[in-house]
Amino acid sequence: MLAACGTTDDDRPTTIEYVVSSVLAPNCANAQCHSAFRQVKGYAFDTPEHLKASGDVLVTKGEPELSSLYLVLTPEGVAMGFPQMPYDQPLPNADIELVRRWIAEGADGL
Amino acid sequence: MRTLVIAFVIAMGLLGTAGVAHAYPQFQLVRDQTCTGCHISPSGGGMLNENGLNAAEAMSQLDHSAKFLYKVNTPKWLQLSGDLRAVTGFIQTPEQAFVAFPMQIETNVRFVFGAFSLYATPGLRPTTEGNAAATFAWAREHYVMWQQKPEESEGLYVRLGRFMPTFGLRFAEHPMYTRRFGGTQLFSETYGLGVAYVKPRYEVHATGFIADPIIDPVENANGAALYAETRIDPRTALGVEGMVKVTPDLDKQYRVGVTAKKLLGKDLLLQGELQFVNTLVENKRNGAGTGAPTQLVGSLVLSKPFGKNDQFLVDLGIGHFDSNLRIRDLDRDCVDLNVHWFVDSHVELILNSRVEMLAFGNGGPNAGYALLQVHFRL
Repeated sequence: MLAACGTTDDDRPTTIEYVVSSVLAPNCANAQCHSAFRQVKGYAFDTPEHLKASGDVLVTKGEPELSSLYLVLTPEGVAMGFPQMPYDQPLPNADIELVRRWIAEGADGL
Repeated sequence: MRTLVIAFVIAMGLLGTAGVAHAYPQFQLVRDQTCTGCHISPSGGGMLNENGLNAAEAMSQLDHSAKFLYKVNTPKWLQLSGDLRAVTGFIQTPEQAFVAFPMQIETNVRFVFGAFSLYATPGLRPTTEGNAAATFAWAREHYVMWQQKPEESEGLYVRLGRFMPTFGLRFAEHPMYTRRFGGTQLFSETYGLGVAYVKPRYEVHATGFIADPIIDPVENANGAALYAETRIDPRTALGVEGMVKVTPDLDKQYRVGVTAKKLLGKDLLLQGELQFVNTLVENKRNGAGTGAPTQLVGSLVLSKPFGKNDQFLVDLGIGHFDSNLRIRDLDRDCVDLNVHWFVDSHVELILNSRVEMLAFGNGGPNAGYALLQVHFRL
């Protein structure tokens, strides 16, 4: 078992390209869920273009607490009745926080 | 028993599919030096050759024929097979749920014309929501293969068509980190040209591939993959690998790694894979906010068959994935325990279990699953 390698606080960029490439595509856009291949609930997150297609429904710019894309990742969202995502394995808290920051800062690129 | 198993998997099959399995690298070095010792494909997985059928019969609990549907003889130019899989069990992500779903409903057909063959896996696939009528069936793999020595399991192989780029250890379990995050996630087969040279002492595989132009794919990337492995003695194999994937308007991904297999004792196999991945994120809108996260992904698996006919196989593995080596708390670790029971030459029961920890030691969430899988090979 390896210990955590990173030592830096999260300074990753909050752009749609980075959020899709580093969080949504590898964790949500797999074969069973939100890839263009499957499009569960009509959503695909494997490219920025696919996310933009459903962005108005899932994201309220500047308001993560009103954005289902963020709420499905959090215990608060589950308590409100949203399903827990990803369904097959959890997301690191730092990735959930990156999605929150991206939406809070205006969802750049959406 | 055969009737009951067939009825169960067909009933589950009506619901759709959610996964497939590929190869059993646990058998390399233990039973044969190469994947082609038992499989038609140079990368392993899928249809078995005559030696593979004999091995399936010899290592199962019940002494049933390994032929297609137990007794069907086909002409030499035609080979038929297939895979039906379903799974049920408990999953915690960290929300807890009971799950039951079909995984694979596929047939395998191969037409042989001397050194050339045409291979396809027609079957059901998970549908694209909103377009189910047009997306319920496919042939996950379909390719033309030329084989330098069609009567042997070595030499030069050339494939053109739709298949998984040959890369890494190629475990059947697609949640394994070195598959899920290792460049060969579930259903990442795509169109490409593959060249392989397989000898008992070494093998080299090179694949060039493009994003599937016909269906909406799981992977949208164009690229190339290289995998080379040498057996420095009959009990030790070392491999190197590299892959480049370019996803238009998103990123370029560079992946390099090593693999190793060591036979400890008579049949205790230790194998591992470690990859470094660098992703260059593109932003063609304004060039701002790009990044180049470097990732580390690895797996280490200890496998041992046991039982009178080696009808049981146990895998104990660990995995590590860090999605950005520079940022703290983006790492995840897992412990996997898989137990395979080869009931007869066609029926396999598998217990898949995992405990997973994110940001181990720093308060991240835990997860896990315990799943019972049934596999019927036609």
